[in-house]
Formats: sequence, structure tokens, C-alpha cells
Amino acid sequence: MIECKKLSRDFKIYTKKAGLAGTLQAFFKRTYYINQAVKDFDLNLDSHGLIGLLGPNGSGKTTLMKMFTGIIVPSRGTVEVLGEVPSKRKNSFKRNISLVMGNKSQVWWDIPAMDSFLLFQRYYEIEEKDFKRRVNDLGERLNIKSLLQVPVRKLSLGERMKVELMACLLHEPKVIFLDEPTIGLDIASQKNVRQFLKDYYEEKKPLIVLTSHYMADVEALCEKIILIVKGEKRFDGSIEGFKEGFRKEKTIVFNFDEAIANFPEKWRERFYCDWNQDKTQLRIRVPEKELKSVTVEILNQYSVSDFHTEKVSVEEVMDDILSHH
Amino acid sequence: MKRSLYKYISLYKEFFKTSLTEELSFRSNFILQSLMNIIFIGTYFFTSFFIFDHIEHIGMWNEIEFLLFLSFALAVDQTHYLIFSPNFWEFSGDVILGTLDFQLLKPFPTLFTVLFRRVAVPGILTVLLTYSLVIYFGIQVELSLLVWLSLPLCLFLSLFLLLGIEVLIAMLNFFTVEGMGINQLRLQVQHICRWPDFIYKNPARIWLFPLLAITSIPVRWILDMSYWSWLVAMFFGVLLLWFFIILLWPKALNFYESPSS
Repeated sequence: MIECKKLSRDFKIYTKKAGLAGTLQAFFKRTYYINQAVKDFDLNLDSHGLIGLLGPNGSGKTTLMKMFTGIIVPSRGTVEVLGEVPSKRKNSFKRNISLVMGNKSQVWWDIPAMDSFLLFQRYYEIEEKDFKRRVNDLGERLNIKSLLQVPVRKLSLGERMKVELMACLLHEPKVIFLDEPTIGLDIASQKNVRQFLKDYYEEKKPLIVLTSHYMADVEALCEKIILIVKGEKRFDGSIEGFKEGFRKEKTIVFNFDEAIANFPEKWRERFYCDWNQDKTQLRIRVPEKELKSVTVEILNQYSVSDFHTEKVSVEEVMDDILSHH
Repeated sequence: MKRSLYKYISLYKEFFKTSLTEELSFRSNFILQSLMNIIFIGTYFFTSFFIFDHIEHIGMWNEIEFLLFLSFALAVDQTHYLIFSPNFWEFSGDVILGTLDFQLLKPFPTLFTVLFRRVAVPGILTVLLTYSLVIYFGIQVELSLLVWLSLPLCLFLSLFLLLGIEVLIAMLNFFTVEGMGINQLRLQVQHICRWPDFIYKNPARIWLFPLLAITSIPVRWILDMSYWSWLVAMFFGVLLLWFFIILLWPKALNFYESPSS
């Protein structure tokens, strides 16, 4: 469904020194550098699945999505989506894909969303009865039916994102690209969008490729993760494999009967320790092979009321990766 | 073919309805724009009346012939304003902000959606006004039946020559990024083509000929049928121009870098 080999994209970036002298100098003589946004990226994805595309800011996630949708043309390498070369921009291809960008809107700003949807109905030649059914169904699921008659600029950020999702799903695409669909949303709206995407995927089984800065999105939704750092693929596999591959560590949470004033320096130096404010709870990350010895030692030295281990979250793994780049 | 044409017409109908919905959401703006367009037309005519209070002819044309030229030039201009003008402005913004992405994703040729997606609805009044003026001055100069029948073709040729030149200029947006200079250039093109070719002397006349031809060639034919060969040449010129545009447009699109907003 998506296959790319040695896919690369370069951007020529213009730089200038600050200040008037720099401005005048740059007017007559420009200096550029080549930014390799995506480098030799190989990928093979099936016809359905919920895939998380992860990476820090500027790692090339959005560039990759833009190449998959045909918005920009690769500098090198090949890519095929649904058996077509996206950059040829064939209408038959465009009819089967969709892209939502958290920071850009495709619905008209000053008019109600329903008017934009009517336009999309014409773009995608959706039969009247199918259109009505889909608007009704998606409107109900996203709980925005009553807002479809309100000008988009009057909607909240969360409501606007739901409208964007609706707009991208009206033609029932086979491949859906979601670039930061929950950016800027509050916790409740994020949960709503997540749940909606989960239900939609269960019912229609499309291929959904999702980028997000919120690891909760990825953990809640994705079956598979692709990690991209500085334009290069660093991981391609399951969430569990992702966590395992990057850290053989576990978090142990201890609750103490009383506040701990003096915790041994040797542990603070070796392990990541996170105390609560009144020093009665400790979260300590230790390598799996030391799990037993550290637990025994703490249990022997302090009065512990309760303890348990936690799985390392994707967020913690990402924190680690980002701190090393 | 029939189905394909129906697709385009029904999408354009929806573009029109959506633009109308948007324009009518802001009543004062709608009224103000309509009024400004009428004043714009008025200034051209009042300037001409003033000039003809002092002289008999401009070049080879008397007052009525010149007013027919002016009406035709403004009919082209206002039709362009109604159908295309807002799209050029929006296109520049799209290239800078990266919102052209969504046009590239729609299952229609991008050139079509870029050029036709917005309609400047307040222009309807002035389009009707300028068409009425063409008919009025056409009756005054007693046009022949053949010329009356050729008027839609003349309008079409002028419009698509102007549009083609503007599309070529607008493609520079992919390279310059900032679109203000390009839009200023387009406005100057529109300005130049509103005057008869003979008011410019060589070498400006030769260099500006493609722009001067936009209105001057059809009006020369309208007023003097011996210019038929000029009109035929213009027809083939427009065909050739659009052939190149259709070839160049996809290549220019490949330079689009889609900035992330």
C-alpha cells in the first residue's frame, strides 16, 4: 500500500546574518545550505493499520507525509502509494487519500462547515444519499452535528479539528494521513478525537498514518511505530518492540511510611529518581538486571508501605531519544 | 466528455455558491466593493468625457468609437475581476503559507481549482454594467451582424490572453516566495491592456504588443472588419500560449516546497 525506497528530500535554505549589514549583504549575495529533511528512507506498509510516525520537531515526519500525498516531489528515491506514484498527482490516486494537518485548515473560514462539505461533495463526486448518510454519521460520532451550520471561525480549536477530520473522511479514503491531529487540543478533546479515530479504524479498516507530539495518541491508537530522527529511519516495528529496543529498564514506584530525608547519592547518580513533593513517593528507573537487587536493598533500608513496577511509557523512551539528539 | 463537462460545471456552480455565501456574510463589505467597482468604471468614463470636451479624436477613433473600446476593455477587466482576480491573490498566499497543499490533494486539475475556486461576487453588477455599455455603444456605431455574433469570441480571446499572461507571471510565485511584487506586475499588465495600442510609440509598442493586443486587436476588428487576420492570429496565439501553460504548470508545481505554517 505504501512502499518507498531510498526516499530523500533536500531543501535549499537561505540564511542571513542579523542586522542591517547582514540584510544588505544577503540582498546582493545569498548564502544557502542544503537541509536533507529525509534521507534514504525505506518503508513498506500494508493496506490497513494504524501507524505512528514519531520523531522530534524537524525530524522529517511532515516532509515524508507530503511526499506520500504528492504535495512535494522527492529529490531522490522512489515512492508508491496505492500502486501509484504520488507526485504524478493522478485524480484516481487523490480520490483515495486524505490528509489532515493540525496547523492548516482546508475548510472555508468564514462560512459554516456544511457549505465547505457541499463543495467537497462535488470535488469527490459523492452521491447525495451517501453524502447525507456520512455527514449524519460522522457528525453524530464526533458530536458536532449542531455546529455544522455555524461559521468555522466561531468554533473552538477542538471543534475545528473535528470539522477537519469530517472533511477528510467524507469521501471514505483508503489511506488517511493525520499530521498532528490533536495539536493544541485540551485533554478532553484529545481523548474524543482519539476515541473517534479508534472507532473509525475498527469499522472501516483503512491505512492511517499518524504523527503526533502527544505520546498518549500513539500509545492509545497505534499498532506500529516508525521512528524518524534527523530524516533517517531509526525504528520500524511494534510499540512493545520500540520500548524494548530502546531501553531495557523498568520503573519501580515505592511509597514510604514517612518522608525520606537522606537517599543514597550513589543511586541518584546511577538511576533516574523522581520524588513527590513531600518525599514519600519515589519513582526510580533501573536496568532490568538490577531490578531485584535495588528493590531488595530499598525494602531493607526503608519502611516501605507499598511498591510496584511500571512499564516504561513511549513518552519516556522518546524523552530519552530526544535527550540524545 | 459530456460527463466530464458536467463534473466541471457542477463544481464551478458549487464554487459560485460557496463564494456567494461567504461574500454575503459580510454585508457592508459587499456593498462597499460593489460601489467601488462602479466608481472605478465611472472614473474611466468621466476622464474620457473630459478629454473629448477638448479634442475630437484619439488616434483614429472618435468619441463613440473610443467609448466602445473603453467599454470593451472594462468588460474584459470586470469579467476577469469577477472570475479570476481573487484566485490570483489567494494563490500567492497559498504558496507562502503552504495552504496550496489542499488544492494539490483535490481530485481535479490543480490549474482549474486554483483559477476558479473563488468568485468575486460584487463584480456581477459591474460586469452587467460594462456588457450593457458595449451593447449601447455597439448600437451607436452600427455594428454589423457578424461583428455582433463575434463579440463573445472577442471577449473570450481577450480574457484568455490576459489570463494566460497572468498565469505565466503567477508561476513565478514558486520561485520568489513573496508574491506582492508579482501581484503588482499583474496589476500593471491589466492597466496597460486597458489602453489602445496606438497611444504607445515604438519600441514600447513592440515590447508591450502582447499586452496591448489583449483589447486592441478585438476592438480593431469590431470597428473595422479588415482586421480579421489580426483576430485569427490572436486566436492561434492564445491557443499556443495555453498549450505552453498546460505543459509548464505541472513542472512549476514541482518547485512548490509547501512551507509548514
